[in-house]
Amino acid sequence: MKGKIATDQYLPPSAFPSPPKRSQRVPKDFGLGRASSRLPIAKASTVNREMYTLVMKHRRGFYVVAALQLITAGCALVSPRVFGNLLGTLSSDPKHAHILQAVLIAGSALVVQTIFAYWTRVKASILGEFVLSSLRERFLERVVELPPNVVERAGSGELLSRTTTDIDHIQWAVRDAVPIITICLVSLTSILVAIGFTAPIFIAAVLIGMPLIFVATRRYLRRSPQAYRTEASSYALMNSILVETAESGRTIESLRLGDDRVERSDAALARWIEWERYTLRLRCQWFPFVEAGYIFPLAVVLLVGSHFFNLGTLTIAQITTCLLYSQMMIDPLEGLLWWIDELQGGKASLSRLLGIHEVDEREIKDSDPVGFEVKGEDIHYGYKSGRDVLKGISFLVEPGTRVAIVGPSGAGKSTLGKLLAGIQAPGSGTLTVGQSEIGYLPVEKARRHVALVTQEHHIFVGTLAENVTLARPSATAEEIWGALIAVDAEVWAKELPEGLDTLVGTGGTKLLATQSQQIALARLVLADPHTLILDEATSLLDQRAARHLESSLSKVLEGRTVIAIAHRLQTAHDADIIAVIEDGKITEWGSHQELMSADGAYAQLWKSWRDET
Amino acid sequence: METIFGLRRRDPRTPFDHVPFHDPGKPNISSVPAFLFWIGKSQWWIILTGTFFGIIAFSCLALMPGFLGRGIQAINDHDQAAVNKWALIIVIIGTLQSLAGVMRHRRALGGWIVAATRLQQIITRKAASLGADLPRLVSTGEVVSVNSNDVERVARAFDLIPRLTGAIISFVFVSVMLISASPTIGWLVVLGVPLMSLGIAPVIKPLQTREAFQRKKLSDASNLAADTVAGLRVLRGIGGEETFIARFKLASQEVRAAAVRTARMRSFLEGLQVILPGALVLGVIYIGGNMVAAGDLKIGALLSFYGYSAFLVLPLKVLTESAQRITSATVSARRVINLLAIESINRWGNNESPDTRAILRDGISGLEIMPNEFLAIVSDNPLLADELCDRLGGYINADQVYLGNLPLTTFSRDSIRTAISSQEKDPAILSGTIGSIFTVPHSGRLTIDDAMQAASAQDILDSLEGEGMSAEVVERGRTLSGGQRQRLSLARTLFVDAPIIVLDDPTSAVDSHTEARIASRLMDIRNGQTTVVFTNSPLILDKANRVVLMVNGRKIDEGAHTQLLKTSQTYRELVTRGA
Repeated sequence: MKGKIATDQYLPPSAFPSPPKRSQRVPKDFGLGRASSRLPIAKASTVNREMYTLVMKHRRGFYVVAALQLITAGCALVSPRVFGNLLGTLSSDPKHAHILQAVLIAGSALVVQTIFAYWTRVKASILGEFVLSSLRERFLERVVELPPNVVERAGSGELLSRTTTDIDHIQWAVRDAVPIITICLVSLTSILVAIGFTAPIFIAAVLIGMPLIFVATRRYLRRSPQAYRTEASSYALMNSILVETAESGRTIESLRLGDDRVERSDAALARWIEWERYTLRLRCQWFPFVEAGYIFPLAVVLLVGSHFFNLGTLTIAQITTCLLYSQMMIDPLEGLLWWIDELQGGKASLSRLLGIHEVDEREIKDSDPVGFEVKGEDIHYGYKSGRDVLKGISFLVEPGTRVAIVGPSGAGKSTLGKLLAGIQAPGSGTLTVGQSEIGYLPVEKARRHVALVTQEHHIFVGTLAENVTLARPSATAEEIWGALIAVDAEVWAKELPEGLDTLVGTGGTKLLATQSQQIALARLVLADPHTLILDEATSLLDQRAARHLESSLSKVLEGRTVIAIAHRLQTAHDADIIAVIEDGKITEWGSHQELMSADGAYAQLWKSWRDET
Repeated sequence: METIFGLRRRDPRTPFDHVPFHDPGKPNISSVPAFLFWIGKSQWWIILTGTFFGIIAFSCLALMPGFLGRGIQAINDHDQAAVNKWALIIVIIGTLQSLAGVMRHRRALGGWIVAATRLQQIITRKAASLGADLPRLVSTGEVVSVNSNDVERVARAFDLIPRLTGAIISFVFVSVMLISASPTIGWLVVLGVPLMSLGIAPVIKPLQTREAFQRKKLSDASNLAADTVAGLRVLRGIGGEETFIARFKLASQEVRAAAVRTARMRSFLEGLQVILPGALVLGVIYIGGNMVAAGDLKIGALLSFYGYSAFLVLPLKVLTESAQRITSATVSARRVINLLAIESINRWGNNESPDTRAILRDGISGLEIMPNEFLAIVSDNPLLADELCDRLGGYINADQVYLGNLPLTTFSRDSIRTAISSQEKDPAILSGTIGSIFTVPHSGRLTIDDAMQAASAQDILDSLEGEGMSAEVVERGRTLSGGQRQRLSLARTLFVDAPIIVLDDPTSAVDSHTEARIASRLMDIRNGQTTVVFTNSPLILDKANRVVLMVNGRKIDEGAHTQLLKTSQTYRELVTRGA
């Protein structure tokens, strides 16, 4: 026999582990928590409470559905009763059986049942859709209110998967599970009540299968939700490996990684199959018991019925009716179990959605900035404890100054940019804009004073105008064009098929990366804060275009403070002040001329760059 | 593994223990039926046993109403022994049905998993072997949609077989039984059930249309949400959240409206599914009741008929579902076949030993690369530079590029990839750990650390979650900045240490400080092996043995960097750009 396909070494660290073996105790958490550690997940108690609140908030809707279903279920009970009675009469006194009358009664009940079944389902759907839409809207509202530091930390991947995959998962649970469970419960209860009215002894007979169903189902439900989620994620992993293989064909061929890709993909397949095997095992330990739970009562009804029939306390009519009733229970029971299972899966997603509401608010110390001065005093900051990226930075930027920050990668330039924009507060030391600590201001206030544009750009699905006027939706066409001119974008913008109304972003006209960068800057022009942080905001433009853009931008931004993290030395050259950051500290500070005559690191670099050696 | 009573507890065997395959085999892609037959043939045992259990499970289900009827009849006849017998039979058949049902489920699932696995493996192997040609011949979206949707649809056809056969056989079985017991009622039921499904048919189409519309609205809304979240940093930085929330709410309400419309149609369908079988059952009661009254039928038999007519709805549902599934499976099989039929662009030879000490010459531009030189190329047109980089690596027009006097296509593809490593402008960083980025075939001369040093990339480790080489990199290196991705790719190419490397603008996103460091280390780490760099950066140009200036894809000048700066106006403009 050939060896088993090795899995672990080919899968990324965030891939889910193998399912538990039969001989192992089933862990509470199959590893899902680890994969989403960057954003909180709501506790089970919170989810239950939220679900209760949700139901209570829409309780009138639930009452209506339950009432309608009660009528539907009631009508459904007529036919077996009529049939049972008919059979009873036929067995004892066939001559006096009113067959047509029975069929007509049952037929009328059937018509009423159909109408009410339709009505119940429509009402239930309207209710489900209403709850669902308010849930997803509330979630997105909360997402766009997240503190920027949380957004930075979580990364867009995690948020995106909650917004798409998890919302998708709860569709079923909220839209169908809750209403259908209501419907099934009403049906089951009314059947039991009907059996009670026909012949109470049969209630015990029918319920005989229940303990079996209950125990098997409980065991199943404890394990299934996470197992199915993991199974789905493993399947998704397999697909993402192929996406990579297809997208990165050139790199893969160049590095001769073809076999490696095949092995990775086989490993992911093997992991997925392991989970399929696990969930199959769960089902195999559940289905047979549940089915036995349906079948046994039928035999018991016969035996019990026969006993009391012989004693003369039960009639054929009663026995037949109850036999049909106990068969009727299978459908709602199956529905109940199925949807409870779905609901469990939905709960896992719901806990991830509700987790968003548990994000720590950032600390707020509200104050109103006075003046435009930017000042840092002994700023320290690190992403991991004990490893500071910024190691004591102090500076003072007068209003209207253009500052360029240069330095090697990893020196802490971008980190300083984030602190300057108030996305994060310094670990120690203070950073003030107009004497207010920018990192503690409410986001909406902070961004009126300081705005950050990074090399990361995003074009939203919408018109060009909508993309530029984020900060000022009321801007006139004239103002928009003004902003586009300031970023050298008027030429290509005028050439767009429908000018400002051209649809851009995913699915619309595709903009070049350079154009996207210009849009990002145009947004800034309209936002008009007094201090701008540009983190390599023109890095994608070529040297000449970047320089032109910077000069036309600086005309519009006359009097504004601009702190640019520079990737190219030309940007630095044009600035009033150049700050050289090396290893988390400001090592040089001054104008181009001053730094050149100081002949330090900056001067060295400039010379080698311009070949003035 | 623990032992209990001397028995080993271990995971039970499943019908798909043998997958993934070590070799998924070579499919017959001559036609759709041949392709489906090929898959079916390779897993005939699972299909056969699954069908066996499917027939048993359905037959047990079909027999149940008959036993219940006999039971009632026996009660009516005061025959306690018969009652006991039928109760016992019901329990036995019920148990058998549930066991056979589980066995059928295991094999049906096995059927689809084995088929899906085999197809996924074949597609992955195809994608890996096409390599660089794949993105040129077919879009990633197409590959992914084939792999996720079409593979699933084709494989699902194999999960269907046991159920479908079981349904057909039980339908025939019950029909024969009914007709032989009572032709009137038998024919009523046997003809009535299919007629009923014809009655439902007109609703199916509009329902599907509404469902498709709802799905579209839903995907619009979820794309809008995804778009908002993807640009969340921008929104939080500059503002505009209200606009986006308002747009999302609008989209979400459209989804709601569409969903309610679908729900009305679906409820209507469900209503039909209540009233039509109900009417049929009433018909059976009416006719059957009269027969009992006339003494032509026993009451137990009437109860059985009642049960049978309800049962027959089930196989009919399976049949309708199967028809839809088989249609979509054939459509999907066609798409899978089309993907598997793609052939690579270049035809490669089988010479395994290219001479890396020979001159590498591009027949189109006439550019010659001397062995062991550090050549820098300045181009006025970045697109033509990219093409030249692709040609030198043998990715396009490989028959017009020569190593010594032999076209690259005389060699095997693998030997060329080993000899020449040509790194495109934006190389991919594959997901995994930092360590896994460096699990590539390499010369063994350099350590990962050497390469990371040379590419000035060590600081990247600190910025990632996780420690050192086990730090995780997500797909497309999204968590890395452009400069970090570039330096990691450079480190990787240097680590592979091919005799000839071609780098297309490897420092465009790196800041000047770091670029200076990389430039100073590049020469050392290559240790005199052939190195070609496309760049406009003076920091790197200054270190090259020779600089070639290309305008419009043609070499117009060459020399040392300092010399070209003095002699060529074009060169000066391209390199210093008006500073």
